[in-house]
Amino acid sequence: MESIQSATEVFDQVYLDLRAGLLVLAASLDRVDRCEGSERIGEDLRRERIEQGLAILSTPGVNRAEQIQVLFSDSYTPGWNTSASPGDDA
Amino acid sequence: MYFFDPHVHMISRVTDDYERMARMGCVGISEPAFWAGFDRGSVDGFRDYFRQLTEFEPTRAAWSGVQHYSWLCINAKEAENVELSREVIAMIPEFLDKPGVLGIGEIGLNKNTPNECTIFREHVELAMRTNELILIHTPHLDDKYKGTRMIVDMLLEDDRVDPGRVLIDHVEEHTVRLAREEGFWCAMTLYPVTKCTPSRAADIIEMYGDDRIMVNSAGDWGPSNPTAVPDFIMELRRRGHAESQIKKIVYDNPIEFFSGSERFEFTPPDVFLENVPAGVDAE
Repeated sequence: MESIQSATEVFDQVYLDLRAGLLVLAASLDRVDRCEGSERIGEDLRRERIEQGLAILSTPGVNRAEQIQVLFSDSYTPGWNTSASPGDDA
Repeated sequence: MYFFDPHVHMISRVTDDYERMARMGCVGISEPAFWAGFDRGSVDGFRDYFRQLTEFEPTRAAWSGVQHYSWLCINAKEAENVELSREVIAMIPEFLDKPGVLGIGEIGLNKNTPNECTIFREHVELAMRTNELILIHTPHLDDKYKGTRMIVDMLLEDDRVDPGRVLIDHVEEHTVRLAREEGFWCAMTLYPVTKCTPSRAADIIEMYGDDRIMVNSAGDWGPSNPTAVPDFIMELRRRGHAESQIKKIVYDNPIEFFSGSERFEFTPPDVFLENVPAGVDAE
């Protein structure tokens, strides 16, 4: 069930959504930065993740959404359930 | 277009929602057992909940011409109380011969803790012993990727688990492949902020195909929209996809998966709608 639209058709449809999304991002970051204590937010790991997410958006490819999902995910250790304590957290 | 909502907590919704869903083409729903917003204190609390799921909700749904099915379990949020969880798991078989009960669910993980893993495995053991389908809840937000992988790991520990009889729910861009590669069914939840939007769900369908996948609203007592599946239908129509392909995702696929339960008795909508019972006043 692949996409049956051309890139131009899709871009025409999503252009205003993209524009609106960028404005939400910009206004939200402005709102944080104009408040007292904004300098401390720079030390917040979540703020760093936002920056990394913005960097992902500027890279080419077709799996940016997946990359951003992984960015905002806890890490996983393969084989966690084969250790001595089968109920240990991974 | 007729559709199923294969995951919606109608116990938290009003009768008007059944009516609105029916008007948009909903002919069937399945309702997994879930967290009530507070931790229940006794096994009898769950017994009453299961009675509501298996007795009253099918009746209430039928007033709007909707066929109701259910899943039973203790939710992962309450699995930290291992003693109560075990009492509930031991009580579930009392309800497994009720009409419309499709299996064990929604079981899974929430914060990926050892106790949640213990109770997840014990639910799977019950499902294997009683030959039930399984519906799986995967965690939210940052916990989802790790939790989904842990769930798949635990399912693969047990040779008796047939992936074709397990549905992994709430998949998103980073977890859909995990479920599909191992042969499990999967579902995407359409939520206003967390989980998938209708357009992202449509993207995932276009990238991964329409086999062994479905969409649901997971409507409940929180921010959610019980008519989200029609929004998804509209999104695929806007993109020019054929009605037969859309129907496969929102109608044929749920029926195919649910048919793995011997208690899934589905009456064709045109027949069922001719025999809609009258409702009653709540007061």
